[in-house]
Amino acid sequence: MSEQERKFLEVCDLRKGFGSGESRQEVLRGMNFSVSKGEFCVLLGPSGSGKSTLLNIIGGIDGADSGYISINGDKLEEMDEKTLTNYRRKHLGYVFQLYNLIPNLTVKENIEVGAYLSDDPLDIDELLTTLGLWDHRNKLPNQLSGGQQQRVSIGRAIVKNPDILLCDEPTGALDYNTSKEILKLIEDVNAKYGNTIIMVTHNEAIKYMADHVVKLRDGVVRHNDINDNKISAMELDW
Amino acid sequence: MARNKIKNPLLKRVPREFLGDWKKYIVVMIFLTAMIGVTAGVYVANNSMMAMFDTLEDDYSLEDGHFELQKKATPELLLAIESGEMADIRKYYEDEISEEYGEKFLELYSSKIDEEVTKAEEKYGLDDEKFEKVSVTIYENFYVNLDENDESRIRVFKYQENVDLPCIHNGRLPEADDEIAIDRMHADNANIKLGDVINVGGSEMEVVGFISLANYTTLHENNSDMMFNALTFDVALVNNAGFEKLSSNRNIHYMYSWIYNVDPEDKLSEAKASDNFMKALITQVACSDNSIEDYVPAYSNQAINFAPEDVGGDMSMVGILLYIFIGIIAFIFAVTISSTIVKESAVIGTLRASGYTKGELIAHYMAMPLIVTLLSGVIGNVIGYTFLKNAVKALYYNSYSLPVYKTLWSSEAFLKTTLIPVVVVLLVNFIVIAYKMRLSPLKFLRHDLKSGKRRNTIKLPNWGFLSRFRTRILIQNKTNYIILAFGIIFVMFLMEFAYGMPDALDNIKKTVPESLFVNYQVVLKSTEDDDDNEITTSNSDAERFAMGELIYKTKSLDEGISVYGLVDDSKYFSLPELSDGEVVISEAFSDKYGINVGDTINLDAEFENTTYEFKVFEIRPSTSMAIFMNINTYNSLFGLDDDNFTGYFSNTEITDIEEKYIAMTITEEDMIMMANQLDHSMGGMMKYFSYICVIMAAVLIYLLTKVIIEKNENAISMTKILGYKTNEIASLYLMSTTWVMIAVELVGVFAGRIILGYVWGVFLKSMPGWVAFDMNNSSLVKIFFLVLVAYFAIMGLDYRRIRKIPMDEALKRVE
Repeated sequence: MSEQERKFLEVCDLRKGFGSGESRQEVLRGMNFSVSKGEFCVLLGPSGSGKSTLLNIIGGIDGADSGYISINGDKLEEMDEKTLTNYRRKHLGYVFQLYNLIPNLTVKENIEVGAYLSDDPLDIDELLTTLGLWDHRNKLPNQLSGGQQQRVSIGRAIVKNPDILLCDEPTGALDYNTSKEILKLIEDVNAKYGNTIIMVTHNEAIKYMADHVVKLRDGVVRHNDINDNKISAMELDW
Repeated sequence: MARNKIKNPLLKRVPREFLGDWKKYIVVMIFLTAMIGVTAGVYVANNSMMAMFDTLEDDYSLEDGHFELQKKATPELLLAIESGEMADIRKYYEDEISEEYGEKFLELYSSKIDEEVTKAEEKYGLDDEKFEKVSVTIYENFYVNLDENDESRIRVFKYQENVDLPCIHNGRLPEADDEIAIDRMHADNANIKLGDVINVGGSEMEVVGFISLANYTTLHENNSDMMFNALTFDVALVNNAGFEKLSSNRNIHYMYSWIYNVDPEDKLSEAKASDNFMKALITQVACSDNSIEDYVPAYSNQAINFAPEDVGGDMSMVGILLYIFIGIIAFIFAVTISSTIVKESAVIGTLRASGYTKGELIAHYMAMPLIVTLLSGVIGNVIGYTFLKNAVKALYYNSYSLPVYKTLWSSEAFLKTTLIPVVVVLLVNFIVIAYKMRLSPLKFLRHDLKSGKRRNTIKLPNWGFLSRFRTRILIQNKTNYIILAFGIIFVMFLMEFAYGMPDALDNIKKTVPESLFVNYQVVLKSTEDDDDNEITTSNSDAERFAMGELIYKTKSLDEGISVYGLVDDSKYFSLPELSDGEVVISEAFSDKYGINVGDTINLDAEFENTTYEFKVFEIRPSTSMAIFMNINTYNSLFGLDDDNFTGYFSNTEITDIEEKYIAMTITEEDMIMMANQLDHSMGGMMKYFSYICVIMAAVLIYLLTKVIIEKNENAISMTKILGYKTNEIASLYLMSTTWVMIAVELVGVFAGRIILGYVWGVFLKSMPGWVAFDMNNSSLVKIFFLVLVAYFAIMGLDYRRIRKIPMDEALKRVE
């Protein structure tokens, strides 16, 4: 792996605060770590540790006060809004805790919403099969269970074959079994398509399936570990 | 290998959005289509009519003007007038004196001749160095005014093939002396059929044709009439023999129509040509044994210009109404979309985070209003071009005496009724949606759509919980309520017009008889008969009066004001003690121009450069535009003989003066003729118009309350879960709207009344005469309740909508 691939995503002395004066709260207090290309990285931490803020800055939908993030050598801080949008369009996929599907589009069409953004999207029918949604492809989101909706949301993010898939508590609203199925799906996607995955979670158990675990607390990186003994999502228990 | 680019899947949402909310879109479409259809119909029909007016000159040899002489002109005089040269008045006077007294007296009279010539030069501006001769061709266009079936007055022209030719709608031109072709519109109003025999000035004449004359597209009996009168005034053609028969021993109006030998290029050169021609005419007639009775260039002839001006004005008016309506619809769309954006905020955040650009999302949310407007525009145009244009045409042909016209397909109509509405909707929605979309994806994801610093929640007084709840709903939906207020005030303004117009006309019909100081005003052509004896009447209640006309000049209009000279101790109009220069003026004159007692007014003589200054001493109720003074003051003011008079006032009909000596008789009927004609032309339409306004109000209320309820579906569902009953919820959500509606209606009724009064004034100030705007309070109450009824009907629908919101709505919407 080249140096550039090893530092595919680099977070450097990143700081971010909210509010002003006495009520100002520093959420990120100088964060440093890097993620390799194709890595499954978990950002782990309790509520308020700054993990979602960090993910939003990585995703280019929030900005840092100082420090920078570079992806494949490109510094996000140096991009204007238009370039950032284009960057997200070409290189990033987003999965949220709430699925945010378009209610009057079918499963397949919701995935097409993601495919439309790419010049070279994945084959949608094949992806539907991978996601286990082939039989549900013509259903509307309100006809699906939470887990199925999250699968659609992952499909929408992955269909454009992004370099980085950002997942913000993707199992936060799901039950145990469904959560494991979704994690398995993300694992499969990572294996099959080789995307770099950065997942925010407060579920300690998930760290065991990751290649790289970054533990956050009070806005700083407490542990930055490479997991050499990762296990399959289906083996997880919590 | 790159795959084929996928079509934007968001496009698939558009038809589904339409089907999912079809009631709303259908209502908007029907209304937009109807408005655009009517406007397109008006544009097509009116543009075609305007094109027809432009061809009158070529197709029907429309005159460039006409003048009337007291006597038939000699061929020499006609030739001289046609030359366009001014006559040498000095030479004329000198020749006259030489002929009468011999050449030796010329020197004796030279100073008198100088004086007369200077006077004439000053009076008519004959010493104008810029004078250019304007040669014309003159055609006889004689007529007589007669009674028709004892109900109407008919102006019978001798048919000639040179000028002001008729358009034959039905039948043919008269061939025998007992045949007549009459105006189509009047025939329709008077229920006269082809083949009917009508009494024309005592002669039985068979109606063989229905026509319209190029110089009478509206039946204005006199050029100073505010309104045409197709109800009791008619124009007709007879052949030579018929004219001989009808005009025998009657006052023939020796009217001559002229056509310029070189067509003036524009309005300005036409006015200049008319000015030059008038000087030539005045001098030529002055040098003959004749006098000018009337002079009307075509551009100032009401009977020729009223219809084109009205048709053109209506196009602008309908266009403006359409654009206001489109503006309201555009804002309704914008409010609806804003509410959708709030509802779909998380989806928008996700799409933006995934790389969708602001532009793509703005375009997506603008698609529906644009498609609905475009579709309505296309369908509206098809309906307008096919059906509605005929309805519009019928509307004009039910009032005017227009020649037949060919429908012209106008691309301008399509542009104005489709392109402009689409642009208006596009602009309004673009601004509103782009403003909403300026927020970051993160704000959308967090449902944090308030920009800038968060404003503190407005603190409410310590009211009861329900009142505070309702007030919060008001504050939350203030934009919707503001648009609703604008829409309702606009609709109420239109309704007040629909009710105010008939009210004003009724008011005229009621006040004219009350303010009329005499039943008959007989204006004589000359006060002496053929034997130079003074024309008198045996009516015991007849009283002499003098009358003339002066011009009150304003920026928009030169209005003719009747100047009355009244005898001392008049039975009909007793004047107060007036000093020099003091006059009594009519209430109509005072109201129209805001003239008060003590004000000074300046009135100009029509064909001379003299301005008269008067001080207003008193204002008297009268619907005519008039000033009143003593007859002695009148005669001395205008340099007339002490015993000069113009005609007779009488409360009983004067029957012992020969018709040929009478220029006109003014009766109550004449004064309310305008009201009758307007009532006939527009009365029925106004009723339907008011119903359309009520429907329009209902549509506005429906669309905006729907948005408010949909925006609060989640909260309504939650209150249901908490145990609130539908009635209680409805009272929370609908009561706020009821408050707003009542407040808006109250403002609307009074603001509409004030605005309409102002618009009415501005409109009427551009035309002669005055109709005071006086709306009945009962109409205001009616308008208030009609809109309220529309609201309550929609409230019923809203109640149903609230009842149908399921309790799991709040639970389903996890975001």
